[in-house]
Amino acid sequence: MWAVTAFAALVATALFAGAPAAQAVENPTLKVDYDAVGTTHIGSQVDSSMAIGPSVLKSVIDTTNGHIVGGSLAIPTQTMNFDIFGIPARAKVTMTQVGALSGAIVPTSQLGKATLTSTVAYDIQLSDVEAKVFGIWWPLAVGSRCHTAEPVTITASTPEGEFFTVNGGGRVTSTYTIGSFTGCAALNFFDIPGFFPWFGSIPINTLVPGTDNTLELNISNARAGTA
Amino acid sequence: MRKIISRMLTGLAAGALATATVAAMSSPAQAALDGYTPNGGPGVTFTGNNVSFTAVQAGQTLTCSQFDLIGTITNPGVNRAFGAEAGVLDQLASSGCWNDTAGDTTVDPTGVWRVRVTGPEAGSVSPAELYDVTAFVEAAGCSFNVGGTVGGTFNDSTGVFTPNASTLTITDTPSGFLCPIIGVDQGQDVTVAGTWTAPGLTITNP
Repeated sequence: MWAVTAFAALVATALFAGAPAAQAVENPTLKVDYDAVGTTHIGSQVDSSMAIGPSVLKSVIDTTNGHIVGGSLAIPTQTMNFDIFGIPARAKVTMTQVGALSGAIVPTSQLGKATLTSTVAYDIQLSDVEAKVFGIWWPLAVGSRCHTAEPVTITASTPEGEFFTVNGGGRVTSTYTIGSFTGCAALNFFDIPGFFPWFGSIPINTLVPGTDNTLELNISNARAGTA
Repeated sequence: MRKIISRMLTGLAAGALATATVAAMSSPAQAALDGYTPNGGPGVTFTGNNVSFTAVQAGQTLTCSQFDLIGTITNPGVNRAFGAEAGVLDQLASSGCWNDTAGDTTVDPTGVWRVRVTGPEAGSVSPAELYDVTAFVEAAGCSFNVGGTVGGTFNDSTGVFTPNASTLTITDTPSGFLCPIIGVDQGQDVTVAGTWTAPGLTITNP
């Protein structure tokens, strides 16, 4: 009797061990692409704006709950013009998406009108920083891997009193924080011949990080997605 | 004398017949009573060409690469009143339905659709209707049913039915989280565009 029970237990164990785990059932999704264009304003000591796009916002929407479960917003590299303590400067800004787009489309009491909240994170890299002194653009070697130590998370939402429609899109805005940079050489004005600035060498982290950065994005031209 | 009277009576009778014929030809009421006769078949296929359905208030259009209505002409060659059934379309096939935003969608014609001529032919064109129209629609996880009548014209020189009116509405409460977000609701109007071609079907009056 013991032998039979033990054998049955072995068989059962083997069966369970060999059985595949239950497959998670994925909800149906809707893929929609939009045109996206806007601006971002970098606060702190930079106090300058930069164009965002034109780009394509690719979204994957869970049709059972309106959650955005994937997608992307690729932001083309831009040159940002700003001042460093009154000296004209410019830098190439490369924003590389980290992780997928998330968020939700939420219905309102008005038929066909919703609100959108979307979150996406970017690694922000600065390169080709230059300052204009004596009418000439001088490179300020910032290094080849000057970027945010942690991805910058931007959560953009439909402003109060406005709506987002699946067909027409809408406007979203955000206030976001840029944290510290890493891998950056200090901007060394001593490299500029004949120029003796009183501030000498300036770390990027004294200029860029801050909490008062804003973004405005206009989303339009909905079409079947390719995300 | 008898011959004279006979000729007079014959002449009067002929005059009365001619008068009646002219009156019949010129009276719309009389023409309406005469109705129409569908000829051809009895098998008939209305092949859809760029058939699309638009939920008007939601601004959503679904276009199908195939939307064919197959059935039979009811008693071909037999006169009937305008508005009476001309044919039954009970084999309905659709595929390749697409929405610019939602991508692949479904418009499944359901039940038995019917067709009828509703008025006198002008040239080769008769006013006609697809009626008892019902369909199941699914797009972006939102599903609902549509029902009503599609009015239009049937040109029997080309065999083309062209919709120009619709009483189609969403007949039930749409089901799915995204329905209110994409703006569809029960009672909304649905219009139809495109054409159907039914070669071999002709209409005569009466």
